[in-house]
Amino acid sequence: MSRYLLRRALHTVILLVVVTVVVFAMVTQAPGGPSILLDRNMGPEELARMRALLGLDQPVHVQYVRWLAQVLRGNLGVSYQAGLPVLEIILQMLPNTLLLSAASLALALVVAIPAGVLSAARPYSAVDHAVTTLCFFGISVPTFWYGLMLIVLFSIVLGWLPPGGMHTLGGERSALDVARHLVLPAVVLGTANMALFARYTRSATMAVLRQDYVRTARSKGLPERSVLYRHALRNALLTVVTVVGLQLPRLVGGAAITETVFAWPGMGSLAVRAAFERDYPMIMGITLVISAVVAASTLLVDVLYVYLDPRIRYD
Amino acid sequence: MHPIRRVTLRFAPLVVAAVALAVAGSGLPGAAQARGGTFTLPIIDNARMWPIVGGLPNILVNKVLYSTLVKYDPNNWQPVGDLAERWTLGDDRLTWTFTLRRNVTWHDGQPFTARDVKFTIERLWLNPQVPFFQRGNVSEISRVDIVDDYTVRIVTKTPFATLPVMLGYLANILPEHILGRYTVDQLRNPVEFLRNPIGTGPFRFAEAVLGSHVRLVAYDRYFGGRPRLDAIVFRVVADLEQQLAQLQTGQLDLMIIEPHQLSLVQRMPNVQVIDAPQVNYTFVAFNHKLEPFGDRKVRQALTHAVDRKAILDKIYQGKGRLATGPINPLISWAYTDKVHQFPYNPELANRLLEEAGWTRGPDGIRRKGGQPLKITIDVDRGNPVREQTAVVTRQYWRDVGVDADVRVSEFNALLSRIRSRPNPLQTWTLWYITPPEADILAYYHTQGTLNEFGYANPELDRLLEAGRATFDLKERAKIYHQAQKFMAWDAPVIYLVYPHELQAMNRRVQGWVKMGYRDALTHMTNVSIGR
Repeated sequence: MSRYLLRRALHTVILLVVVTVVVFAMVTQAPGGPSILLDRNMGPEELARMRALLGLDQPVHVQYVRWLAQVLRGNLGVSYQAGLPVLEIILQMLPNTLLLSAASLALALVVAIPAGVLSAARPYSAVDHAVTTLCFFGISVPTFWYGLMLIVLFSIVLGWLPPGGMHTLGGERSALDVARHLVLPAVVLGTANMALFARYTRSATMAVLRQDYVRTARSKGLPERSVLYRHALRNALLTVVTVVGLQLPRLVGGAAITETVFAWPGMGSLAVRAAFERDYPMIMGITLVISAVVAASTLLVDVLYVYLDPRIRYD
Repeated sequence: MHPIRRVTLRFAPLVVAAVALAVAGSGLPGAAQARGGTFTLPIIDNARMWPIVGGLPNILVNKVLYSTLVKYDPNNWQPVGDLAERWTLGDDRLTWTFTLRRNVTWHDGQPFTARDVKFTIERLWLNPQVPFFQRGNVSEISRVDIVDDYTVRIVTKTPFATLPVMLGYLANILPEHILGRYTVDQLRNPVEFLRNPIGTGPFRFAEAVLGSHVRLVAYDRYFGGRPRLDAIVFRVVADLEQQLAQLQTGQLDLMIIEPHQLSLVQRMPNVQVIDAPQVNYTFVAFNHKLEPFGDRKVRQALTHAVDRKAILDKIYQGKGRLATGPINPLISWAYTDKVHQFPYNPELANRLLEEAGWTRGPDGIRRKGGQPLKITIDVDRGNPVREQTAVVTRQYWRDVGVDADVRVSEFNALLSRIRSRPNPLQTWTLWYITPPEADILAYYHTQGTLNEFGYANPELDRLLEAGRATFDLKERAKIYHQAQKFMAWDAPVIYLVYPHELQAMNRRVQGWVKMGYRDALTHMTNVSIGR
């Protein structure tokens, strides 16, 4: 096991280098440049000075090596736009994204699992058709449009919820206030997952319901409810857990569109702005952190399998 | 009737209605004296409170956090004192003596003195190790001498009549007592200072929550008197639809809208639209380094071919004035519209193109020496006014036999192409926000640092140099009138519109100065929020 872990760690490092090289090449070669260099009042002299100051006059590979050397010393650089250390910014935004993702995940599970089980219990019934239709909607609706529609309905027409941001500014900072701001983005972000999880729960439950031990349970005369929840769901959940696990990296990556539409101060909207502003240190910092977390979480899932399923063994 | 008058008259009822509504909305007569409240406006990204670097979010926050030596009078856009009380010019026409205010303190309580001015100009603006994005405006300064704590002499290399105006344009003064001990490296990016920036403006730094907002609170000891507002909050809201939603629900007090959003915003009962003239003009640029734009007849023809009045009426929804040249009418002492006009006249455009040797082929496309007249108009994605302008310009040009096309690219990519040398673009549509000054040397002089057009004309060069070195306002006005006449005839670019800035403002806001919001933010002490 320890040899396996060592090998995986090595793979992870190589993976991170490859990812950062590719992203670095892409962002620095994209047309345009850091927007702080594009002020139209800035003459060519200032421009050249500024480029030299930021090291942008160097060949790309030199720039990358410099960046890497800095990162190895634990420094992700300073954001062009905010003028603050990238790591500090990321550490401030990350919890906001985790909060939003966790809320949307919880919401998705709470709705999706009962819906999936209900569907599976009465396949091709009216309930099943309704759930299937809703899932189809959830998977295919464009986040941007859906978010705006919810804002129009719940913020502007009904006035129940704030249209965006994370706090009411000027007032007391309270958990309730954050929760109110959280509802709409969590619903939007949760909808797609909800649909996904419901579909998986349905098919997994149906597969389990066809198993012999379910037939045995039924023939013993157990009530249908007990068969469904005690026997079938428990096994079906294994599949769902795997699907949820696959979604875990998104907890960190955030959801760029949702965060942007709702002005939620998280990693997603940060990444979008950084890309627009060509804030190279910021883009690279986000890339590194997210890919590290993705690599770590897949490793974690793989290791967990060993404990969950005794048939799996890594050597 | 004169077109400009007609526009003014058409909007008079609207203005009256807006004023009436504002008065009605303010409720009790005493509301005008309201004090307190928080004024909230959006920025699209985190702000860096370091006025040495550009970027709109930074510029906006810095407007209320820091002060400049001069600012602009909202009535006539002439420079008036801010940190400086008054100034005089020496007989050598190079030495300016600025008398500073005495009752100014930094937000940490330290007194503001001449040392801060000298430090800011010499160690920050002119220091080649610290790239100041507005250096072009102040590079004529050679040195600053301290006469006493409240008097400085600013010496320029050449006679530079626009110095006071430039000292009011994004030229914030920074504290020597904090930054004076910083190394050059730290001055380039003063992370520690940015955690608690210290200025002399009407609002002092309270908190910055990344991705969320920057909060500034009233500075009790502000030299212009404590602001009526308690606080200004800059909310980070990148998405314009989200900005609109926050405006409608009252989370934002102000946002800048595009003409196509007018009808939507006018339906919001809590919002009024202020169309504020600003020192700005929009244009379709020609690249003079490329054929066929070196030929004045072609430029004139392409200008006559475009119905600019229709563009103003339809695309700008009438919110602005037809442009006649590069000097904005707000600079009233220098502006003249008694210049060659370019009314929409496709027949004349056709004739001029014939005269220039571009004759129509069988396919309707003009050719000269076998080469078709093919023009690509570059425009950035996402701004409806500029996109539509490019599209209709293509159509107008096609109507007179030009094989015109539009290429859309992202703003950053477009700008970097315009700024690369040689500039590869033929024509593009953009705008210039300039200092409230007639001095346009940087943009149109052959050696101008911001001359993206590659325009070169010795006659205009002489005029622009003379304008910069002449101090008598009447004399200067004459020179710039001449320059405008010359440019209107020579058509270096197609001047489209002096656009108004459309400010969608919550009706509870009172005392807002009617200027473009960058400048209105320098006049925040009388703004208040009604209850």
